[in-house]
Amino acid sequence: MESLQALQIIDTEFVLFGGALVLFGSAFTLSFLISKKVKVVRALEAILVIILFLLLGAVVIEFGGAAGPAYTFGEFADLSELLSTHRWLLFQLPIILTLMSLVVLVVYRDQIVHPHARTYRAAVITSIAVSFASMLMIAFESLI
Amino acid sequence: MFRNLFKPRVHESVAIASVFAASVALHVAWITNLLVHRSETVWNWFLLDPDLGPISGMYTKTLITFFVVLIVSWLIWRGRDCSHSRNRVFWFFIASIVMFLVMTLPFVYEFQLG
Repeated sequence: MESLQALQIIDTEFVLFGGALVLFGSAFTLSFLISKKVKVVRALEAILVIILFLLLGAVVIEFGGAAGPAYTFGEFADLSELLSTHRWLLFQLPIILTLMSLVVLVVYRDQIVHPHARTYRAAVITSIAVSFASMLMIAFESLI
Repeated sequence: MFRNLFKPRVHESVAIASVFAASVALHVAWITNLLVHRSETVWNWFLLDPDLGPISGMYTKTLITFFVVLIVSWLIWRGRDCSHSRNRVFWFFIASIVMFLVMTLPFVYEFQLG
């Protein structure tokens, strides 16, 4: 009974966001090992694909819900401003940077360890670090 | 048998195009956000779904920009030596992240004189 009540409280978007945040933490740790272990690249690719789906899922659920009765019954005139807040602007950052990192990793694969790929390694590490930081910022802003 | 005859090829043009596309998309995102908050006309342009507000158009435009710039810049860099552009594109990418983070702060984009 209690578990049923707990399930009703759990927000799907919150679960997707939490999952993405946890996976970004692991991706952030793994990104430092790119230049040392080639096997890490495959794991990182898989994690980034899952993160991308989780982020897009969170966006679709939030925006899909906005058109539903939950919002249209209320003050939906204020919704534009609500969604255009800092959090929703920041949410674009991990989506774009994850897409970019995925393309770079898929193109380079094991050869990302080569000296000429130093710039792309730096771009991937930077984008994962910035995405993780922005996700943390969104999480902290949600608590305020 | 043929593995030793061929060197694995890296399509660097795709990688550099994706870094460049992400940079341009981030710039487009903060400029769009600034314009949406400054002009009623721009606000209405991005109103794809009235229930969602301009954010629907802003997200769509950012993603479309990323893919369009990715394809166009890949076509431009394809078959060319990308080594000269690597550092410039990387620093453009860093600058775009900094600009995005600064320009999407509410007190920055909502600032106005008078």
